[in-house]
Amino acid sequence: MLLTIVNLEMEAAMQLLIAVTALLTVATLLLFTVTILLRLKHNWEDNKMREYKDQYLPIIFEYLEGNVELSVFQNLIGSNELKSRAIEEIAVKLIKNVEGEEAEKLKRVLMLDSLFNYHLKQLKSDSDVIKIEGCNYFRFTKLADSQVIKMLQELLESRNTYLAFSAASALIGSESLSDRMQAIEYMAKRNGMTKMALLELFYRFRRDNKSHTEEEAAFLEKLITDENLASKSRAQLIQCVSESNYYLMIKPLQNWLESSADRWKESEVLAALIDAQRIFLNSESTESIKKYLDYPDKKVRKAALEAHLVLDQDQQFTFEKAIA
Amino acid sequence: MLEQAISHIQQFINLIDSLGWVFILYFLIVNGTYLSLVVVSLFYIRKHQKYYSVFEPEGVFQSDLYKTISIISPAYNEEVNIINSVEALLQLQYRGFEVVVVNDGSTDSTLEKLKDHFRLYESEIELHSDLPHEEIVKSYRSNRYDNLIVIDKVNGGKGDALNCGINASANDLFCSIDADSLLEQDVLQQMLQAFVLDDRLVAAGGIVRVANGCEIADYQIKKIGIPKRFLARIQTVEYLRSFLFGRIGWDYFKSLIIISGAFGIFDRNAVIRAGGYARDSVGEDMELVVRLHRFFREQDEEYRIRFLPEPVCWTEVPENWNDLATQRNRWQRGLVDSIWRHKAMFFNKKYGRMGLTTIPYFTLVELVGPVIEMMGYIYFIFVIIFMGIFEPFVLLFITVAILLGFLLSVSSLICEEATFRRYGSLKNTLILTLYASLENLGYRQIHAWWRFVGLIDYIRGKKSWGKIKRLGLDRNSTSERSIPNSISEYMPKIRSSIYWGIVFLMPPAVIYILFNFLYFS
Repeated sequence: MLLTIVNLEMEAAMQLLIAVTALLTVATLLLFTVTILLRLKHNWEDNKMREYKDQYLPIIFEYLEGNVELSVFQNLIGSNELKSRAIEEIAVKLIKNVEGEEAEKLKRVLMLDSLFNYHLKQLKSDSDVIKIEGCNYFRFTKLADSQVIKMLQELLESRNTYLAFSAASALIGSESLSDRMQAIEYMAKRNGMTKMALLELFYRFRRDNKSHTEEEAAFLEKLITDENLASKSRAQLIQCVSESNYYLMIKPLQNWLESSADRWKESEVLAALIDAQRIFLNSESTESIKKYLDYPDKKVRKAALEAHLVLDQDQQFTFEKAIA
Repeated sequence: MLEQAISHIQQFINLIDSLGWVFILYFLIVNGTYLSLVVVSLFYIRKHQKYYSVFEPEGVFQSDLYKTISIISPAYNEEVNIINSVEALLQLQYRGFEVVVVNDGSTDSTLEKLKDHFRLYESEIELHSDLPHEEIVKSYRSNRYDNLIVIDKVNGGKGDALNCGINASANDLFCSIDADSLLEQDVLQQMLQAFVLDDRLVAAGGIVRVANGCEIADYQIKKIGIPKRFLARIQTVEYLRSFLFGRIGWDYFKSLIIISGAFGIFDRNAVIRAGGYARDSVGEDMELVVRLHRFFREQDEEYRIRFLPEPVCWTEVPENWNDLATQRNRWQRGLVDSIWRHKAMFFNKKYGRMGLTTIPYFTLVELVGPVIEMMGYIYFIFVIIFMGIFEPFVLLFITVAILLGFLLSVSSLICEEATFRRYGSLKNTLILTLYASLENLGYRQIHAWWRFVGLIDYIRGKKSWGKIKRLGLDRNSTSERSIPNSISEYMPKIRSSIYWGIVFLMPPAVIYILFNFLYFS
C-alpha cells in the first residue's frame, strides 16, 4: 500500500532496497574498519606514550635537581605531538603533587614554545571543547602572557558554564590579583553556579597565597555588598569566605549580621552569616545570634542554635585564641 | 464452497499485504530515531567527556560545603555477592560517605553473612524522613566500619527497601546500587562533578558495564575482560549500545527517563519531595525518574536529570536463557508500569518535550514496539508462506533490518573506541564486533518475544520479580560450569544449539536466495 501511495513500482522499490542494502553494507564495513583502525591507532599511541614517559620521567627529575637544562626538553620534543603530550602529562601530574621551587620549574617546562603555541591555538578554536583543553593547560602554567590573559578573560563571559569555569580556573593562576579577582567576581555573579564550584575557585584563589591580604578582603567585601548580587550568590560567597578561613573578613561578617539592611535579612544570607560566626568562633557575635534562636525561618533557627551551642558554651574557645 | 474459501483466503492475503505499510512505517520511525541518536552520540560523547574533566574536586573536600552521599544497597537473597559488594562500597574514595544496606527480608543467609563478616551489633537508627516502607525488624552498626549501617526489615520489594534506606540516611545525595554490582573507586567523585557544575541537577546516572569475564580481586575490578559465555557477550554489546548511544542521545535532548537501578545518584530532598520510590512497581528505577520529571514540571521548577558516561558500575549479567528472559520480562513490565502510571503526560504540552516527544516515543516504540515487532515477524512468515520464500522484497527488507541493527551496534563500539576504550585489545574489539552482528540474528527476535510476553504479563497483573540465579562476581568463570543432570538443565543447552543452528544457517540461506533473485530470476 505504501508503495502505491508513493507511486513507486515494485521494481523501483526493489532497486531502492538493493541500494539501501548496499549502502548499509558499505557503511557497516566502513564503521567496522574505522573501529579496528582506531583500536590499532590507540594501541600504537598508548605504547609510544608509555615509551616516551618512561624515557622522560628520569630526565624531568634530573631537571628538577638542576642537572639538566630546560632547553633539553625543547630538543627532545621537536615537533612531535606525542612527545609533547608525554612531557605535558608528566609535568601536570607532578605539579599537582609538588610546591614551591619545584612547581615553578615544572611550570617553566609547560611553557616550552611548542606546548605554549599549541595550546594558544586551542584557545582560538571555534570549539568549546578544544578551548576547555586549552584552559586546562593554562591552569597549570605561570600565567603572564597578556594575550592569553585577555583571551581567558573573554572566555569568562562564555554562555557555556564549563568553559567559563575552566577559564576562571586558569585565570586564578595569574600573578595579578586583579585578574584573579575578576575571575572570582564573574563566577560569583553568574547564574546557576553552585557553592561547591565557587568554593573550588576560592580554594585555588588562596592556594598559593597562604596569608591573604587587606586588598583581597576589601575586594571580597565590595563583592558581597554589591547591590546587584542575588541573595543566593551572596549567601554562597559568605559560605565560601568562611569555609576558606578569610579571617580578615570576621569584622565585616559580624557587622552584616548586626546590620538592619534588607539584603542581610534574607533567610539564606542570614543563615550563612550566622554559620560564619560559628566557623570563625567569633564569640563577640554571641548576643546578636541569640536574637535568632526563635526566628521564624527554620534554616536560620538551626544555624543560630548550632552557633549558640559552639560559641556560648566555653568563652575560652575564641577564634583569636585558637589562632594565637 | 471451495471458491468461497479461496476468495476468503485471497481477501485475507490482500489484508495482510496492505498491513505491510504499518510495519514499514514503524521500521522507518524506530530506525530513524536510533540513527539520529547514534549521530548525536558520536559527536556529543567526546564533548561530554571533556566537560566533566573541567572540574577536579580538591578544595571542596577540605570544607564542609561538598555534598555528602549515602550509598543505599537493597539486598534480597544476595548471599552470593553481598560481602564482596558491601566491602567494595566501603573501599570507595570519597570523604564522608555512608553505606546503608537494607536487608529486605531475605530468606537465605544474607543477614547472617553480613553480621559475621562486618561484626554487626544492634543499634537504634534515627529516621530522618517518613517515606512509606515495611516495618524495620532491627538495625545494626559495624564494629569494623563506622560508616556502615545495616537495616533488617520485613520484605516489601526493592522500592520499599530503598525508601527505608532514604529515611535512614541524612546526607545530601544518595546513590542506589544493586548488591550484584561493583562501583569503581573514584566513581562518587566523578558523579559529584555533575552536581558541582549544575545546581539544578536532581539525578544522575552512570554507565553500567558487564562484569562477567573481568578479574576481580580485593573487591575491585583488576583486569577488564569480555565474558566467555555467549549470552554475556551479547549483553556486553547490548549494554554498550544502550548506554553509549541510547542514554547519551537522550541526555543530549534533555529527555533522559531511565537511570539504571544498578547505579544512580539522586538529590535526597528532591526524591523525598516527589514521594520516594513506588513500592509496588517492578520498574521502580524508571518510575522514579519519570515521576521526578513530572513533579518538577508540575511545580514549574528548573531541574536537570543527566547521564554521565564515565563513572562505571560493573554488574553481573545473567548467563542463561531462562534468567535473561526473566530479567527482560521484568524490565518490560517495569517500563509499561512507569508509562501507565504517568499516562497523563502522554502528548500533554504541560510537560514540555517529555510529554510531547519522550513519553510518546517510549510508549509507541518501547512499550508497543514488541507487539508491532512480533506482528511484523508473523506477517513476514505469512508473506513467505503465501507468496513464496523467494519473495525478494521481503528478503531484502529483512536484510536491511539486520544490517541496520548491525550498523547501530558497531556504532556503539566506535563510541567506545573513540572515548573510553575499556576493552583493551584488538582481539576483544573483534570479538565484540562479531557479537554485534550475531545479536541481530536471532537474539533480537527472541528479545522481542520476551518483551512481548512481559507486556502480556503486565496486562495479566503479574507483579513478581522472578528468580535469577546469582553466580557471584568473583567466581572463576570456568570453575562453576556444572554437568547437567536433568532434562530441565539440558534445556538451555538445547536452546543454545538451536540458536547457533539458526545463526549459522541464516546468512548462507539469505545469500543463496538473494543470488537466486539477482542473477537467475
